[in-house]
Amino acid sequence: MIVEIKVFSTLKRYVAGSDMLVGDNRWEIPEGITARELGKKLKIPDKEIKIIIINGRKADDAHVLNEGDSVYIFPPLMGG
Amino acid sequence: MAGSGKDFSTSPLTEEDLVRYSRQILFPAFGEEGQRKLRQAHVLIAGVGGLGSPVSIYLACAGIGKLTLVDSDAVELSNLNRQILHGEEDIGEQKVMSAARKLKKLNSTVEINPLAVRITPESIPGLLRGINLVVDCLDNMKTRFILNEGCVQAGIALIHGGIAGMIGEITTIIPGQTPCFACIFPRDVEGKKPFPVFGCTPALIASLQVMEAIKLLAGFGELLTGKMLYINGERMECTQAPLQKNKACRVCGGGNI
Repeated sequence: MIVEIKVFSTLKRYVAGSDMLVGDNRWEIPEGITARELGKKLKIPDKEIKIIIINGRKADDAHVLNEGDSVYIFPPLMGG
Repeated sequence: MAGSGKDFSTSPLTEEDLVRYSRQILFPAFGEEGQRKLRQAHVLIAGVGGLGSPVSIYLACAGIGKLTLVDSDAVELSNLNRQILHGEEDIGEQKVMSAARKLKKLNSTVEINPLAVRITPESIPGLLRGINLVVDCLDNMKTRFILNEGCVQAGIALIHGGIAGMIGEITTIIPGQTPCFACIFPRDVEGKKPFPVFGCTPALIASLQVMEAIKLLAGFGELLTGKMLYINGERMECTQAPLQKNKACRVCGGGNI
């Protein structure tokens, strides 16, 4: 299925060149995949702290993605 | 405005104010009324380091009535690449005292309230009493959650900023209207310390936080509510992520408060 995924900042380096990217921020991902599985599919290491926002809401690991979802993945910035 | 019982319209501007702030009073959506609103505002700046230095400088120069500075740390040599309120002669001094001295020199008409205390669940209700707006210039997640919870409970707007390296993020949280910090961020993470950072990164995000503060206090423009602005200076990319309330949020409940 096709979803829109935007990966921000330091996490971008992991997803560069992925064959799941089929268009401008459009990604072909397996049906029924969870947020946690998506992170693995995108080859973002578990040790990288990331916030996954799906359709505007923070998604927990078990959140199942649907066709057409809008996904933002970014690391929290803790400095100040 | 949330958290305020003051009448913003009754404070007259002096002749000196009209000259001092003339270039911002010229801004059509701001004007003398906007300046009066800033004069009546009491803003709490949580952290007087990389973000807090430029935030407090620009808020003081803009003519905010009262600034409460909260930071329990002392100035260290390794702070000086970015914490522009502090210099070599200030090493070892409490940051809030070093900051208050410089800010008074920049604008003696602004009341500065320096508090060298920690933000804790116990101290936060008292710290927020009488505050109209809070600017998050902290350097750790744990204290941000405490600050967020205090602001949600008190109904006070919070402008969040965070940085690392050449990347920065900012969002404006208005309790009851927008997602709160706990709606968005994972609770169980903490970053590495010391974290890498160039001075220009907090300077950039701090400027945006002050823009949000001025608009919010004076009541014009569009705010960064319900979205996170993300700026990557290494690639010169700028992106916004839409944010919605988390209905299961244990701090704000995700609904109207």
